[in-house]
Amino acid sequence: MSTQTIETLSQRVIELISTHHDIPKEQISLDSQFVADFGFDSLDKVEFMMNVEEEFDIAVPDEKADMITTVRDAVQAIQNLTL
Amino acid sequence: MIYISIMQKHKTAYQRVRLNGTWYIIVKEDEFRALTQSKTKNDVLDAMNISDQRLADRLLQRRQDAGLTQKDLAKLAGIRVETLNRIEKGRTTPDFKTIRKLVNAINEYNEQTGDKHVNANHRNTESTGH
Repeated sequence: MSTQTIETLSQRVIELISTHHDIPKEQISLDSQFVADFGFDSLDKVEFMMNVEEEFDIAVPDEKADMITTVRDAVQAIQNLTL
Repeated sequence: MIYISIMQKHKTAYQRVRLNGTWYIIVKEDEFRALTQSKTKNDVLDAMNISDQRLADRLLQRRQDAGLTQKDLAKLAGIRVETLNRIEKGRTTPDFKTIRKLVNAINEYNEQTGDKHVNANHRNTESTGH
């Protein structure tokens, strides 16, 4: 996958977090942690993953979803599942 | 009164209250905020079980908003009603899989009953007289 595509993917994920979880885009980076930086609890995390699945038309296995702690993790997981 | 040593520096006295069988310690709001915003906020929140309780409250709220009983939701989500009861009381932290089951069950139920409401409204459409 080209760098351009990864960047586009990251932007889409950031957009999604910002829209669905009401977090200003400028506060979201690839290193942001869902729990520590966004104050997510596990329900937020589940809903985020469900939004990701809908947006990217993928199914993220629970075990994999549970391991995602940063925005970068999410982007990488999506990237792997959409290859 | 109870004495709590914070960061081993100063011991402070806090008032205790008992509500519904649970003991609570009264902390000044600014102290509480400082704790939850400190560098160790995650440790503090974990120690206080705040995220678990918040999760429990939010899940309970959603079930109630949907108009589902614990028994019905447990059945729809495919989990034991005892488990759901413990989750809603904040006595157990559900894993990702369980929360997903609950969210899916509530969403699906809401979609179904939402359709029913639309149909019912449609059937009962009446002109509001002046």
